Amino acid sequence: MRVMIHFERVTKKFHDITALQELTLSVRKGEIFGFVGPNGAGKTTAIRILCGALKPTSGKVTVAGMDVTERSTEVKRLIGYLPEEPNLYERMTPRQLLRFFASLYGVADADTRIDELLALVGMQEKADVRIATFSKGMRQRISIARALLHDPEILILDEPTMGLDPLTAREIREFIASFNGKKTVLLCTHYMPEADLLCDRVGILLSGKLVALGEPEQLKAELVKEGYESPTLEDVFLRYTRGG
Amino acid sequence: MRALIIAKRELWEILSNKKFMLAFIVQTLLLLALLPAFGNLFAEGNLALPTPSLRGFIPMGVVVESDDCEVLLSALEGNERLKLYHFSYPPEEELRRGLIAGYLLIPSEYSESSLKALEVQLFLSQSIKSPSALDAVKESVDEASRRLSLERQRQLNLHLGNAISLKREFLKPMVVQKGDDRRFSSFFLAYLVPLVLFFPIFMSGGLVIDMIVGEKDRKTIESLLTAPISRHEIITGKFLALWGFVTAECGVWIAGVAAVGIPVARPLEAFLLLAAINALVIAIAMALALYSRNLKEANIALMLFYVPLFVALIYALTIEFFSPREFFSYIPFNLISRAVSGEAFADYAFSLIIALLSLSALGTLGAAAALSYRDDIIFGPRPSVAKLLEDAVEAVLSLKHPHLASVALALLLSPVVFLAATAIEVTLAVGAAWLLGYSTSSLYLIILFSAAVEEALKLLPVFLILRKRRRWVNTRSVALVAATAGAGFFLVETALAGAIASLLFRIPLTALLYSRVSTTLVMHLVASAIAGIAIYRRGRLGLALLALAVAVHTLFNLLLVEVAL
Repeated sequence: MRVMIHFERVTKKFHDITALQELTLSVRKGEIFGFVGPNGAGKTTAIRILCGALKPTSGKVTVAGMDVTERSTEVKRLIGYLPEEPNLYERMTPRQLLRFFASLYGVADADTRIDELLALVGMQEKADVRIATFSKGMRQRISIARALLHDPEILILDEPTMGLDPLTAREIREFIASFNGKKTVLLCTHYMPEADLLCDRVGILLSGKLVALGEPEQLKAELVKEGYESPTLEDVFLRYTRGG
Repeated sequence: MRALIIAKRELWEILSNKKFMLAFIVQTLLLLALLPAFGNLFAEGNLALPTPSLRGFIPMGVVVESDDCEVLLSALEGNERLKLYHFSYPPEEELRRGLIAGYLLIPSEYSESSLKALEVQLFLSQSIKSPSALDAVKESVDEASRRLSLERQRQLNLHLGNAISLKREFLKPMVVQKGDDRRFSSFFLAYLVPLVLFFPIFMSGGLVIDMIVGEKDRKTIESLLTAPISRHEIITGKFLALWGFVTAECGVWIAGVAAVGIPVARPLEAFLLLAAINALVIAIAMALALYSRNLKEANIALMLFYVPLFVALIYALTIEFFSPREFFSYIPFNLISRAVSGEAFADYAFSLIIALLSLSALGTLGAAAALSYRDDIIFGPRPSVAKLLEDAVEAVLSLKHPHLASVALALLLSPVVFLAATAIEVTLAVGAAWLLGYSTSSLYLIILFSAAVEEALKLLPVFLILRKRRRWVNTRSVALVAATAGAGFFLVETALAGAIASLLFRIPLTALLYSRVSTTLVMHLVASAIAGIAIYRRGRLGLALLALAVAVHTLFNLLLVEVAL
């Protein structure tokens, strides 16, 4: 299968702090890839480099064969990004916000696309209400609409269900699952059952290094060999992050 | 064009901020209500503002109607504090425009050969009673009166008391008349109204902070950075919105001022100057806000920027108002004052200032955009100022052509070198004066120290290039960089010397420039080139060359002091 995202020995330093160390990783087209790791492992840094918000200190990241640093604008058009916190312009309404981003992405027939997306995330009734009055779940839905606005080939989702009520979290998971095979998804999460349920493959990041990579079942099978009984992906995570 | 999308959104954000818009409307209404009231107050001429001590000449008009006033004229001409301008008509317009401090009328019936009591009239502004001008004229009239009394006493052996009496008249020539008989003092038009027109600029700080730091603080910046738009487009868009809004605000205020009947002599020029000043102030404020870690820090940084700016505005307007000088034609604040009050200024000064302000704004905006490309500025941890400077030096040295990069670095560092050298020289001078007293030996010591300090500091670009790009360097290139550093130092020094000379001694700028180019520039070029080669060569030859450079500079300074003394 065609490689859509490729990290080649990517290191990112913030002055004396190394956030990512020689990360090498490929994500295939149409795959849902899970990026898991404890807080401060470097997941968000890797995602920000991929989205063009940060520049790597060394190494190279390519998206659909294009260098993220050199062809930043073209790469950004291929990516839809859902940040960890759904921070939106509060004075705007969802429709105004989506119109603004549609003009930045150059979306054709923006009003029709916005109506479609608002219906998709179940926010058409709130389309003209100020975002400042919304709950976190509603903001997350608007953020998802924003990420999908230009119909990107790649979706990068940073902790999409964090802090949401179980019902909204479930709806969003179903939403992500619906992309399987249609879009390449890079999912960053702390929640192991979510990664287990949604991801084709999982990479575990620890202190900026990739310590494990494979399909959830494959990773769990390795633990069985080590003597675990019916291990879960959480056991795999703890095995690598705690060292046993 | 994507910058315009950002600008449109940011403008929408400002206009939809009800609190801010309410404050803007209230301020505008208050301004329009209060300004006419102030205008009436000052038009009555009840303001007794003293003219500060004038060290140079007091421009004084003289209208001579008499054929027999030789003694008085010679006393006036002998007064060093007065610079006389002869008029054949009462120069009320010149007095109103501040070109003269007053005028003396010597009437046709004044005749020094007659024995009758003589009377002359001094016309001063009622808005600004100028005690210095009155004192100076009184001094000359008294002198002439004494001479005439002595002459009469010698010829006729008569003591007739004071021969000439001086009659003071306080006119209202500093008042502009409008068609509906409304009057405004020059203090109101040239000082208060321009001051008020700057308010939108000083109120722009909150908007800058909200637009730059607020975006970082609320983390909405992340969505923008991942959208297909470059960072310089984001910065440009934000700048356009801020600049457009604040400049439009200035336009509304100028129109408002005119609408309530206060005459603005050249509204278009005043508006263009305000627009250019806005551009530079907003660009600097944006760069400061970008560098700030959070809202609190940005508030402090902008306060530290706006307060000295406001003090500079008050200082410039005050000095020009009470002591006009040619130099003030080149200060943007004062040009606006002149555009509002109708006082003359050269078109080339106006164009030059607009061009310089616009270029500086573009340069600062470029620096702000460069800051926005830094990950440590956007996501932290924030770099130190030293790290930023080091990176800036590296960026300049990364220019494709080594000679161009070296020369650019030398010129860019010149202001820093000059300020550092001045600070050290002043400290050393105070130290030498304290240790040795105000003596010739301390003067010579200061001259030697100053030459050594300047020659050492001018080598900063050479030192940086030798440290970072040694492979570029040979004797010729090092001499070029060092000589450029010398020329840069000369330029900054001349600009400052020009300002001081024009302010204090009324030396014309062009004369100063000619004399310095043919002497000081040559010395700086030669001494710096020698010093540059000295640190490149090092060893005994290097030391000898360095001593030679300091010696050339010292001898030049000694020669200057000798000439001056």
